[in-house]
Amino acid sequence: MTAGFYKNQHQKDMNAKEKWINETMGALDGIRRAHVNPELIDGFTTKIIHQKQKTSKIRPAVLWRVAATLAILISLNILGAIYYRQSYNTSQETTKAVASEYLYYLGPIKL
Amino acid sequence: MVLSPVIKKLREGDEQTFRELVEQFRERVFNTALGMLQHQQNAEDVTQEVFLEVFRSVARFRGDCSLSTWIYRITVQKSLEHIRSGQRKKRSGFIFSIFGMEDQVNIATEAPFYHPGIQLENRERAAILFSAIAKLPVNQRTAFVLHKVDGLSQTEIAEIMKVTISSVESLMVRAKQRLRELLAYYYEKNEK
Repeated sequence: MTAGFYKNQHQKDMNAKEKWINETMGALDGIRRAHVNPELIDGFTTKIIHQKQKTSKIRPAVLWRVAATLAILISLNILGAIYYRQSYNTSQETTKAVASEYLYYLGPIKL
Repeated sequence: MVLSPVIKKLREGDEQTFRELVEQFRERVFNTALGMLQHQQNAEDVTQEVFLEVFRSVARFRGDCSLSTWIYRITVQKSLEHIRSGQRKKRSGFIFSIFGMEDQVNIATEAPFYHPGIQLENRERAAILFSAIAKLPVNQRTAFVLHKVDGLSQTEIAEIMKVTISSVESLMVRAKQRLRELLAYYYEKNEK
């Protein structure tokens, strides 16, 4: 066996490998579209449309009720906060008035 | 921005228009998903998810690209979500190396995927090629599948992937290089 023989054999192997790779790389040439099951598609198309219609029917009524409830709740909260603030100020003023009057009658505190 | 009558009708929830849209795009969506996922059931699931998304989000479609591009984008996105979430069933198969080094040999236990649109004489080799495609990084995989399986032009792929045409060219070159490396390794291990 000479070096030339091994060189030729190696070259043959390389050529076979390159040929195989090239052929494999081209295996998708001429690929055709796969067909999808039409019944499956029809089924879910109908399902999607019905889901949307169902949602559309429910949505306005529920939406208005939720919006009205939220509006009432927010209004009540705001009114409550305003009333509390006013009553807090009034009670503070009353306390100050009572305290000053009471301390006035007691006279200055002697330690 | 001028919206086509089809988009307007879809936004109004027109049932017939939606059915026509599904009819027109179902095979394109399914084949893209099938090429990306290499799994019939998952491709059917993605097809359903795509049309559901189209129906739900058509109101947000701004018309800055064609309807076809938009649907392809959703298909690619949904397919990538499936790949990333690992929902694809693991199958037994052959040993593969990405880098050709023993310590970096990637063992994939996946059964061959036989695409129904492949000619019979190419069936086995296409299955090997699909296994190699599954090893590509997602961007290369997307560009390669859209080009080779769906037959889209580089311009169309660039629009779908929101990249420049030169980026698509680069992705394709790198994908082919990587595939050749993977196939060479497979040949050394199995075919020689």
